Amino acid sequence: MATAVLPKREAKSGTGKLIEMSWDPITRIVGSLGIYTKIDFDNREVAECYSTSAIFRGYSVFMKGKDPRDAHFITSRICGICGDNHATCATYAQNMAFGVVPPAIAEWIVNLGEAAEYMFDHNIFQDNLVGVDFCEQMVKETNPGVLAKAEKTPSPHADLHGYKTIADIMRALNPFTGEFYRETLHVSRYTREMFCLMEGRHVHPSTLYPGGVGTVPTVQLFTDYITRLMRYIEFMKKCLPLHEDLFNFWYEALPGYEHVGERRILLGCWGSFNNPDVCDYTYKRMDEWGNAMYVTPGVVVDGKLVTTNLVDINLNIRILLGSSYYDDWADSGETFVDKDPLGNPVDKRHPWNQTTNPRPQKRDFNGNYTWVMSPRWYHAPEKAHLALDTGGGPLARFWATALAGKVDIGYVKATGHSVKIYLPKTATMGEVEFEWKIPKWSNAIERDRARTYFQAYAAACALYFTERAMKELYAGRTKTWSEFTVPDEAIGCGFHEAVRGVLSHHVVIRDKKIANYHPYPPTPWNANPRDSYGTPGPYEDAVQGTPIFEENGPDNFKGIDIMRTVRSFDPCLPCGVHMYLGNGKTIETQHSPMFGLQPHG
Amino acid sequence: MSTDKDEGAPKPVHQPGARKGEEIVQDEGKEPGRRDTSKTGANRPAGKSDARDATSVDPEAAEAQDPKSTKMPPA
Repeated sequence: MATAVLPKREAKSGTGKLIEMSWDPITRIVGSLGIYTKIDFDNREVAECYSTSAIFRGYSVFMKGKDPRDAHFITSRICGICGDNHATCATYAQNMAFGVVPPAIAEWIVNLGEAAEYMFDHNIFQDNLVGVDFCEQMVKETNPGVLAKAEKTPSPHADLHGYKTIADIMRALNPFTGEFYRETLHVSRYTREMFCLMEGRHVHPSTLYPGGVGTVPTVQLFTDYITRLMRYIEFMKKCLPLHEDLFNFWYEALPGYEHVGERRILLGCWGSFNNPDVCDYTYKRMDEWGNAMYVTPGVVVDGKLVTTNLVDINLNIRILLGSSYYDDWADSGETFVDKDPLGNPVDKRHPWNQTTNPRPQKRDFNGNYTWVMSPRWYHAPEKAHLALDTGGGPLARFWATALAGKVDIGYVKATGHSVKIYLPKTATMGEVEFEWKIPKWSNAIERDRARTYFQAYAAACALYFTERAMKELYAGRTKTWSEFTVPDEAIGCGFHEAVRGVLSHHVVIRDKKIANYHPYPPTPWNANPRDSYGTPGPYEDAVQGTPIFEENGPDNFKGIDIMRTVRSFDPCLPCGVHMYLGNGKTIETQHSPMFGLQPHG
Repeated sequence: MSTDKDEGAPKPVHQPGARKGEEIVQDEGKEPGRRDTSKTGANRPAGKSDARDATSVDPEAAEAQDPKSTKMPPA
């Protein structure tokens, strides 16, 4: 339970009375995310926000001295929901360090496994957790006026999803009792089965190695995958129009809602789904094969794509300490890599050169208040360390892929301003084309909307990957693993997209052992504190200034607009949230996104 | 094999220090029934396997009608 005290500061307007409100923990991820705010109820706005994490994990510390071949098995345990993303990223880094290239069919199998992970994880998060923030019960408690309007508003796509009014959609999202909520629980089951077919076990893969996979490629393997995939595609033809109706209604019902969770468009995507026709895992060709990924890597600043080059992306990563509980290493730490394999200088604050010096201390919002460091991306034209966010994953992936206009594989096509997704005929529904268009804002609703579209995108990509894998199979090329030796000294880096955003692993090998290892998952990019320059992290930035639309006053305030903002970034799976008011007063009501098993209606 | 005349604790069955797959390949070569073929794509190794790999049966020793016959990987 929260006990920290926020610093005394004036509200921006200087006229409103500030009330401290905090949610800690806000997710069930290890890391215990807490959000501490000051809310100006007179002006209906969040005046200040601090993001904090209370747990130190230390993977970068205990990876030292390990056999590099174990990196993917160990780092998989970083997360209990997207561990396979870590394992995959770790094998990418190992492939580069060991100089090994998996057979093409192994790459397709990995791509199919990761596509299933996106389908599973986005599905369960969107409809079993985010959806609860928009369900009838929640809206009744926070915005009864909106629910009344929803009862009278017909769903534009009722013919596709079957829910006549927006309120019917909201009822279908009620936890445990809602029809759509329960259906998506079932979907999360068979998408996990799809994953296990390819990577052996969810969420810590058992058949994923550097140099390839241990999965045995057979006709039945891919057939089992496809039968489930086609069910998922059928589901998406209903799911996507349902979410479109719901999210569009929110803009209509609450004018100004576009400012909830809005921040400057600063998005990072590290690319996903390697193309074995181009990717050879060499650093020197990383720009070329990065641009051939089926989700294009890129950095988007103010709506403009500033790079798709993974070498640029890599070299401009900076790890700032900011308001975190660590001692600096810039002057005392070892320089492991002074130049990359292309001869470019590598900064001392780059992950290859990072030294982790934990310094436990009391939380102080005027000083240090979290275990999360502040990853930043150095943008030379601005001479600024940008606090990129991931848009919860899909928003950045789509934005970069759309602007780059490189992906065109039949089932998906990047147009330069949008991404088209073609889904073929399924059991009861005809073929459809969806188009994700670049939105006006980087805000909560658009992060959520992009998530649904990316579910369809991952499914469409999986159709292509299956075709390519079976082409290898029918040609008899069933070898799935390449031999390699661990070099005495090497460096490597892996770039991937965890479900909720950018993921990188950097490794330095000496004497055949790990000398330095730094994984950077999406949540440190999103949940970080004010950095050394005073720039707030993305959660803080997005919550600060967010307007309050909730109809409740301070006494029974649920903070739903703040919750929607933070959850739009997909901070893994939200769980029980404790609520705290300043001056030692604690509201004892627990706000559970699942409402426990309380009856409601 | 133990007999009634053995005395003391049974000898350990587990042999510590199991070799890694890549080490076995280096020492002993590929498993029977597997062969490398020309590379594909971005210098990607490729390899095929035959009935020996799928069944563990040496087709020549078993006097198969067509030892080179194509096969589908096991389901």
